Amino acid sequence: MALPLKQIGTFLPSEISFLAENTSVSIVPRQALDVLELIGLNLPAMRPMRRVEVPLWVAIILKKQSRCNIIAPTWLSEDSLKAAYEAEASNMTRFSNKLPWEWIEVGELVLTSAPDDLACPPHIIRNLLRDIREIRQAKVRAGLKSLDPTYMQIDNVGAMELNEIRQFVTMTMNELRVLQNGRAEEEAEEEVEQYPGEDSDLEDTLETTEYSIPRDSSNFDDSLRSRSRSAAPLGERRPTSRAPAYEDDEGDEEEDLEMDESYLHTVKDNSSGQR
Amino acid sequence: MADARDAEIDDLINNLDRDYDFHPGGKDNAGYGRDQADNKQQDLQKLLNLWIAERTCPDILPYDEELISTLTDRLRAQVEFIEMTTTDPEAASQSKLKILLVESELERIKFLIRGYVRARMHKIDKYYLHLSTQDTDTKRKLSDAEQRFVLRRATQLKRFYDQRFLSSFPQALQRLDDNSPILPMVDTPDLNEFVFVRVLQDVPGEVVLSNDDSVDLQKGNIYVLPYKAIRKFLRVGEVELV
Amino acid sequence: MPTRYYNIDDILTDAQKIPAVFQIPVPGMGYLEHGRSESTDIKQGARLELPLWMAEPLAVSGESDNLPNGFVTVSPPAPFNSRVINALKANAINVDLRSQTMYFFRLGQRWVELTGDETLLDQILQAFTERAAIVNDYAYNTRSTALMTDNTEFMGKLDETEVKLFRAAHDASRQFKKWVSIKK
Repeated sequence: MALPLKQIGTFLPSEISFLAENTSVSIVPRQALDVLELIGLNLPAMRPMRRVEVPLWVAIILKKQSRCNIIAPTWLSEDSLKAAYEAEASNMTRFSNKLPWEWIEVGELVLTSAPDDLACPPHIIRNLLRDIREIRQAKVRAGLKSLDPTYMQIDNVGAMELNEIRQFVTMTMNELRVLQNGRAEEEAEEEVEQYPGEDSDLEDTLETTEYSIPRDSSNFDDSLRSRSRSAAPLGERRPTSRAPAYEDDEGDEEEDLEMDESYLHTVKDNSSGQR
Repeated sequence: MADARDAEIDDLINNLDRDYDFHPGGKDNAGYGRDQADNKQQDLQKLLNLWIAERTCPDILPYDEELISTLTDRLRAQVEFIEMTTTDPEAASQSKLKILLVESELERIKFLIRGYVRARMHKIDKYYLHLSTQDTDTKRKLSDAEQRFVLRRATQLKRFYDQRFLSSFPQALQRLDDNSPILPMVDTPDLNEFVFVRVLQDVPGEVVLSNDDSVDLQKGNIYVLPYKAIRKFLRVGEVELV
Repeated sequence: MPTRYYNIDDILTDAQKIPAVFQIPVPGMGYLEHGRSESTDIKQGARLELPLWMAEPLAVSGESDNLPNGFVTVSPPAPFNSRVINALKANAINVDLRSQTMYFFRLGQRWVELTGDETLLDQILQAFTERAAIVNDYAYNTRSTALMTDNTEFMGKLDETEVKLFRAAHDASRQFKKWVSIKK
């Protein structure tokens, strides 16, 4: 296996945390260090007590060796987190924009690696983070009640929060989409749309032909053979384009359409709540 | 969109004078200064994006030959730096810390490159038949090594199946690549799969989805959308996979 | 999306039984009916349960002037009878779909594709959406780290698609808890 099962279609929390370690933080070095050329950046020269910005992973290494103090990001202070909590609580249908993309990971990393560098007791910060997480989780849960097969918008979600729902959301929406495929003709040609300023290049044309599913049975010969996972011919047959007879067919088409639309509306109205 | 094009052109220009010398672990060489440092950060950012994208995208994305070879060159230089510094008896007191930082970063970069390659291998493995039979356009997305791998894998598996059981089947049932539209044998990436994207630049006009729904892509917003609907914007850097 | 050739769920869905009535006699195929021997014929009007892969092509082909309904006519398989559907409408999560079929939703999709029954499709979509949210809730509330010990009863009612959803959500929640506990 090129990729472990746990890492297919999602990331591990440790991987999300790994990404967050690339965000930059301010530190106050306790010792001098020359400029250091690395692969993905040049670390600035450090002088004792002179504040510099470094990636979080560097800060954590230096902190572990007591060679620096980490200055917690401003959003990770008691006041800011209280404000963030208020903002979250004041609107239960969307996330506030008071927290950065990596808020869970950075919060956790700073709390565990530099609890003594915080301006207030770490348990206060920890509790605030937990409260915020809980209130945001409630919003996520509410949003998941109304997934639909078109799209979802979740602005200001955090990286870890997103990853946590990633598989559930994509699997559910994919499944809804597949179920929708039963709804005959309407979605047939979705892929030929022209987007503004975009030429349909060769690749797209190829895929269009590749992925279109014939709805009529004009190439039925083919379908019969393949559906049955066997190449054995089934005797005489002729192509037909009508729907098959359905004994209990009593569906009123117009009613169906109406129901369909109202269903979509209810979905839209409270859909994920975060539009 | 104009911005994206400009950025792309800038990128190209930057890449042209990219063959600066790399001075591993040592002092910043005055002549290169900012540009070189910016380039490095851009490269790292690109690698992070590639890693995320390859892991989350249902389709295999074009292999970034240039970036990976630039980074592996620098990896090699860093390894040399570590070797030189550790064998140098004169090494200053600072060098232990330096080596620790250089090694840590080395491992971080290696982790990302490995992850990137493995995510690709996973898809190449899964869609080997599709990739080995496809036109040059699809093949262009693979590195030379990946192309060789996919072809070898296809031939060897076919030979193995033939020897084990396929040859005893009736002729009509021996194919592995019978692609009737209803039940194709060749597994292909499902481009309609949903992905999470962040919008990097406002996309003018509405993006039309199926069922007459459409969506307005505004900068900073995060959506779950079918890959197919955002692929074009991904290509020009107007959205990114997250 | 076309059925996936090597996908085990698609293959097993293909094997689900569909009630069918033969519109023509078929010589020598009598053994398809339960308990009959090989030499007999399928009579015109015979009711048989056919696997989906066989019922589907027979239902959409063979139409002609003296055979207006094709080779066979099909009626909804048991999982989609009105009792089940009404129960889903009343309280989606309480319905034991697994006892109906392991592939309720996949089969539903194929059935709707075959018959164009959009009323049924809407009901299935509604049920799936409602149940999915609850599946997610259950996946998060599980306390035990061992998979699914607390949820046996609930899990027993889920169809295969839902079981996969449960696993995905449960794994995500477990991985997160693990990460937090390692950090501390």
